[in-house]
Amino acid sequence: MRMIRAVAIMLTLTVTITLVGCVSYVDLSDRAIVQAIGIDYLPDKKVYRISMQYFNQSSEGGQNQIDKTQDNVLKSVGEGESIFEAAKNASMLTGKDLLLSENRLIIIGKELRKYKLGDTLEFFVGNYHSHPQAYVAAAEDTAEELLDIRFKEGSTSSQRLANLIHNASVESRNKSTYPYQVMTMLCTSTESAFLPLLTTATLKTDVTIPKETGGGKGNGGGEEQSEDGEKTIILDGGVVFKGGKELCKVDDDGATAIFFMNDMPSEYSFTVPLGQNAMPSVTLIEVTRSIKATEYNGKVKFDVTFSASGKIGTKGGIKEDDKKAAEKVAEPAERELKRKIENSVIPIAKKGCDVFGLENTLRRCCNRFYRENKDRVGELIAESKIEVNVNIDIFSQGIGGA
Amino acid sequence: MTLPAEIELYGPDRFTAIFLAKIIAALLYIPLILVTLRFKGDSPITCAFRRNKVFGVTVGVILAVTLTATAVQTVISIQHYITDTLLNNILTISGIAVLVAVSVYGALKGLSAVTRSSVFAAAVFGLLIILIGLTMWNKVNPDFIYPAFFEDGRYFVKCTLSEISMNSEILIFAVITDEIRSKPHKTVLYYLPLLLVILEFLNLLYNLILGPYMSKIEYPLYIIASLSDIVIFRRLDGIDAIVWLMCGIIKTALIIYCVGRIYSVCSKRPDTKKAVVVYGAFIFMLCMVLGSDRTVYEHFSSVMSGGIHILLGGVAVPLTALVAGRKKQSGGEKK
Repeated sequence: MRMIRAVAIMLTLTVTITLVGCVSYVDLSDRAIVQAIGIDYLPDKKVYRISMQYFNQSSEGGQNQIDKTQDNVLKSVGEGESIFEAAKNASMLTGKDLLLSENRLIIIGKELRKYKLGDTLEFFVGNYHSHPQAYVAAAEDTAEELLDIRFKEGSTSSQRLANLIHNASVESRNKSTYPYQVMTMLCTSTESAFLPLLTTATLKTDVTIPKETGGGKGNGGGEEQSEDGEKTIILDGGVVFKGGKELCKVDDDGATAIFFMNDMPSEYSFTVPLGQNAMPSVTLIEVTRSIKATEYNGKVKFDVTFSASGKIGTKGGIKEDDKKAAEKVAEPAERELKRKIENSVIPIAKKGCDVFGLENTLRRCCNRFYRENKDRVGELIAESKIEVNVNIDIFSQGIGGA
Repeated sequence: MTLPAEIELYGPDRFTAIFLAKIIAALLYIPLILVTLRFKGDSPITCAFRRNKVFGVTVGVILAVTLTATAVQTVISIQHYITDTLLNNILTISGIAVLVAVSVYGALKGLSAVTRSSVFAAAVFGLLIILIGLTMWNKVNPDFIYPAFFEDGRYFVKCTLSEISMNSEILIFAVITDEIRSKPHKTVLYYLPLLLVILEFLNLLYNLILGPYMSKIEYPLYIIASLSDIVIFRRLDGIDAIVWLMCGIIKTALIIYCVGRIYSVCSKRPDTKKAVVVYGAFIFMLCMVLGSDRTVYEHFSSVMSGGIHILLGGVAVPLTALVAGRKKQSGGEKK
């Protein structure tokens, strides 16, 4: 019996020792901690090109937020006939194992948007080790170009870009797009989706960096110097997809309208043109959205209603002691927001693109009609009538208000 | 117990399908409950064996075969789940070996130990659901829900059948009623409504957060669990994986224990340790054969999703025992 037990213990130990993950472990220092991935398509070579920005562990970034002596990130590039192959080749160049669980950003290049977006994202959503909260964005030109630009803010460049998208979403100006959200949009009949657009720009930035050489009279020790006109990346509206491929670009107002139609805006500020040089700004809070669909003569009408509470942020020409400021601003603010949304939503919908979740509304409100016309949802949306109503209740006239 | 490998489709049909499936499942339990009531808590196999040895062995073999099919499906689907999500570099043999070995160990420890572990698994599952509820509220899109509870007839039937086929606990219940101290039917009265609420709630989560995308993914709860924005609750998918792993092991351990129990009744030998170990090895081999190729496993799963094992082991066997079984002699003592 003892013999049997001893053999059993030996066998168990042998099996468990060979099964544990520690046998083929990869040390963290041997991993390329990917921060951002840019994917381009090279039509001449007919290959995918992946650029990976990964954390440089030999820099002092771990201790200091910004290490000026070394880049906190390195870049690796790989090409291949599939995204997987390109990623593998990029990994080979780093000499390290890829760690995708810290990835913050996926950028899709211009050429690649001519092909099905779902196929591109499949690599990330099908890979459970990939970070589910990496934002997906489109690049004005190539994705690689964006990853080459370095910033002085944030521990890595990708962190700043991810924050850019996050902040735009918090301010209800641009829809945040995690891979699963994009895939959810692509699962509609029209395979429509939206991606925020990142583009390069030369801007006068407010970045100030401490003067490194201090003390000397001529060097201005202890003072700060600012850099003007440096190349940066901005969020410039977005790209709309239909049939899984790029349909058109939209401006900032378009991106805002798409946000309003899909998400729950927590706060949104805009300027109201009152005429006579009065341009007050209004901040909306508690915005609620209701979309209803009605069917008439084989066509559809969508009634979109936004209700919000608002406060006057800056008076912009309205007299400080004007007790009727709220009344004066409310109606023009409603008109302005209605104009912004209608001008953006209707042209896109006319193209049969459903980046606004109208199919869900149709399914919810006219289920039978939807089932009968399931195959021509895009057509129905293109022919539909969209009416936008905005109700704003100004509850505060801001500082100094009556 | 729902296994995560089941593919769910977007739409309100599934709410109705789950509800209908649980009502049908409750009806399927009736013959078994009648057996326990008529024969004072005895299981169908005990009643059958008391009537006739051959009858008893036949019932035992049918139950063992259906339980084996369920065990194989459970082990392989959990192994696929683990390799698809957390540990995609481990070999099939390693995953199956560990799962079966732990399950055999649980079965050797006995029914009480396994059921107590399941309370722990249920607590972790409850924690996961609470954390998901707390952290995902801002990702919910009410527009994804629409009031049409019967859209596609064909899918509805398929979904209902699939939901019924996932009630393989009826087979375990058909064997262990002998060991439940009093009124075994009460277990069903608590268990089924609780399962109904959990499944409907999970389906609601899938629909509200993932919408149409839920149809494209194999493990919706795993995806949802990984979406938390709150830093300290990020990657709840780890907890999800642990919960399903624990569920799979507990279910397999219970099945192995049940087969040991069938052996004990049929052979009249109280010691089932050797039988349990041998059966564990048999399960391992079957899993290796069926689990080595995804196509073979998919065929096997499609047969199982017809619910044949439930009808055979959970309904036909108890009905036969109800008609032909024999009551125990006076003085017989219940364990």
